[in-house]
Amino acid sequence: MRWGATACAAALWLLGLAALAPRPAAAQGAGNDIVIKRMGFAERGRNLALTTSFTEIFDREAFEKISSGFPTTVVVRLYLYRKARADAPVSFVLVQLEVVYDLWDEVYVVRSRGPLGQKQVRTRSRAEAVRALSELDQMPIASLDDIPIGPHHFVAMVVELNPVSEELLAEMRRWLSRPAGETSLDSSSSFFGSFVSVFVNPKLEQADRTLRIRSQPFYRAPR
Amino acid sequence: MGAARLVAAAIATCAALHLVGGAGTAAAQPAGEVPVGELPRDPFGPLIVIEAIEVVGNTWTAEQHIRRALPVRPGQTLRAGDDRLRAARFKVLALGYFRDVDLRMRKGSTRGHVILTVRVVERGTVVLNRLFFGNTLVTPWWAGLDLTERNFFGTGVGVGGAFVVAGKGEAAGAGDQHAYQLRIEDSTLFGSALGAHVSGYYADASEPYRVAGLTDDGAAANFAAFDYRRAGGRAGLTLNLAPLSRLTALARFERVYADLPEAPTRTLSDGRSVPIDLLLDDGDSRVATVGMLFERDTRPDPILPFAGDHTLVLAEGGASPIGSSYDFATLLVRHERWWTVGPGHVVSLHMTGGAVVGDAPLFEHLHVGDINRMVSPRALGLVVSTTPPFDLLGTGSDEITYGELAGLVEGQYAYRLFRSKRGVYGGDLFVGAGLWSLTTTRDLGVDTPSFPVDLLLDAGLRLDTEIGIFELSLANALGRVPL
Repeated sequence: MRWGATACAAALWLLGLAALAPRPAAAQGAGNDIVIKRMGFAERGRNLALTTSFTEIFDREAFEKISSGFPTTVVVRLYLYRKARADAPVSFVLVQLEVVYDLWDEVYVVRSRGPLGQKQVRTRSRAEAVRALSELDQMPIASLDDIPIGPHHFVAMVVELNPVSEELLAEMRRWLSRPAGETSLDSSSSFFGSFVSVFVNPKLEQADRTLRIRSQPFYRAPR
Repeated sequence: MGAARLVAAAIATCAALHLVGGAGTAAAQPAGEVPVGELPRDPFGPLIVIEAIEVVGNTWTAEQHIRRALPVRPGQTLRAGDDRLRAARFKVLALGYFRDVDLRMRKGSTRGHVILTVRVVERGTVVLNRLFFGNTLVTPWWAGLDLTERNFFGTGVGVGGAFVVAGKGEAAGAGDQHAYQLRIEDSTLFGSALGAHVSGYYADASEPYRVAGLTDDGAAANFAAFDYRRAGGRAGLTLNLAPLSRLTALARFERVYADLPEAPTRTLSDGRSVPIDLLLDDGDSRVATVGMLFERDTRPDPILPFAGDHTLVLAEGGASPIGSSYDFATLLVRHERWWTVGPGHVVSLHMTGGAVVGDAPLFEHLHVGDINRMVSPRALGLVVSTTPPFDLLGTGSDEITYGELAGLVEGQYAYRLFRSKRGVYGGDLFVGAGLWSLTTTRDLGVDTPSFPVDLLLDAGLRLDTEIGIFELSLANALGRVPL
């Protein structure tokens, strides 16, 4: 009798699961989509250099916010993969691009930090500042010693606009697990989490916007 | 046979999850994106002086709460690219009162001076923390709510309340049950690192206890019930040690009135009768305790966790010098940790332990529903089920309802089903398995296993939505149906 009821409960649960589970492919958020983009690759000295742009990281709102006086940050993570061995990157490069608007001098101060060191430029044009924040020109991404001649490679790029550290994100959402005045290990309440919790729950992202971009395959030709 | 069915159901569930998972990874990136890197913080940009701070859009929330949350103050000099300015928006969002926060600067009265404008969009701050409902063999129904208003009249003070009402039980002598709780919390007293909370509690309980039958038979006919009432309150002073850690000093006082049956006994299967200790003083008694609670929560997302850890340690003790009729101490510890092992794949480890020493009152002992979530948990302190846990390993784990030592070690695997920017933000499928144990140091008058270890199995779906959090799990379902 008891095991029969258990089986019923399990069946009900599985039915509920099937009904509630959204379709994965249709539900993939825009932030998880991967865009294939043609990038420029060249051998510069002993390095492989990359040229590309990602202006789509700035929508109208982000474009406007650049003039707010608060800093705007774009973090670019570049991973070079050998196509046949895509389980681990051949190389990894981090580039950080930042801008603040100087209200009194009315100029945009753009700073870039990465494999080429630190560079700072000033411009009066917002469009130019956005361009400086969303373009990589001849950026060294790997040593040619790590890229054999012949096999296909590709670059995967993750671009984040104003990323939030995990610690700050945890701080933002901590109230979710802290109901007023409740000691979570109070033995008079449930030891484990709730079945349901209903509230107005605004979306808090790890970044204002995230792009995932993959390059076309390429290979080194013998000289 | 029954255990085999349950295991088969769990295996079928795992297989179903695997199929769903396969469909969800069609657009997978290479798995090797492990390095993330981080550049050292280095403020840049022009030097500015904060001349004034304006707050706009707060029709409900007191302005001082927003000002206190900001990491900058009028008169401060800093670079425009300073981390404090980057974090300002998120510090205000962390209050939990706003749907959106926008910050802007404009020129101040003299060169280099700026006026900072904080524009907030308020949101509803009522939280339905818990729903209590279900029916079991011994309780025809129970229902209740746990609600909190996190920003009471815009003061930043949280006011919450909960109630549970249970219908007249089927056990001999059982009556209706009801419990109520009222909570008030200010998480930052006058903007300081100190917080405080007080809560009141009242319960009119009808506690079932076994008088006959085999341990795996939870039928109401095998139980009698006795009544007791609890009324009291708890107060706590919290020190926020760091943004993600806090330490709380607790004090509690309760009056208890128990109407115990005279010489209660349990008739064993061999016909012998053994006395039962109902763990409460007959008539009036008092519970007075002091304690400390430490909590650290570094999860970037506490709803669908993928990294970080969560630790809770609660130590509490009661003794006659502080007015308690019961001399006892309790220690409850929980530690959980999450790891992302691949894109969309998260594993986690959950460890819980508890110990009770001394002459603790009944409700301070560890209940099987506290440690094994396949059993109905106590609803606001009320016992609503007599169904014993599944003795899946045949270790006699179904013998003990209240114990003094308990532990659970569980591993979970969660598959990221989807993430979205609106409506239903995300969903994770999860499966978990663990080992739990509840043991007693008391003499129950029957042969009890000294350290029974048994299995915990669970699987389900967690959803993070615009209207809250939902969890549908096998264990939850099992705890709400009459088995």
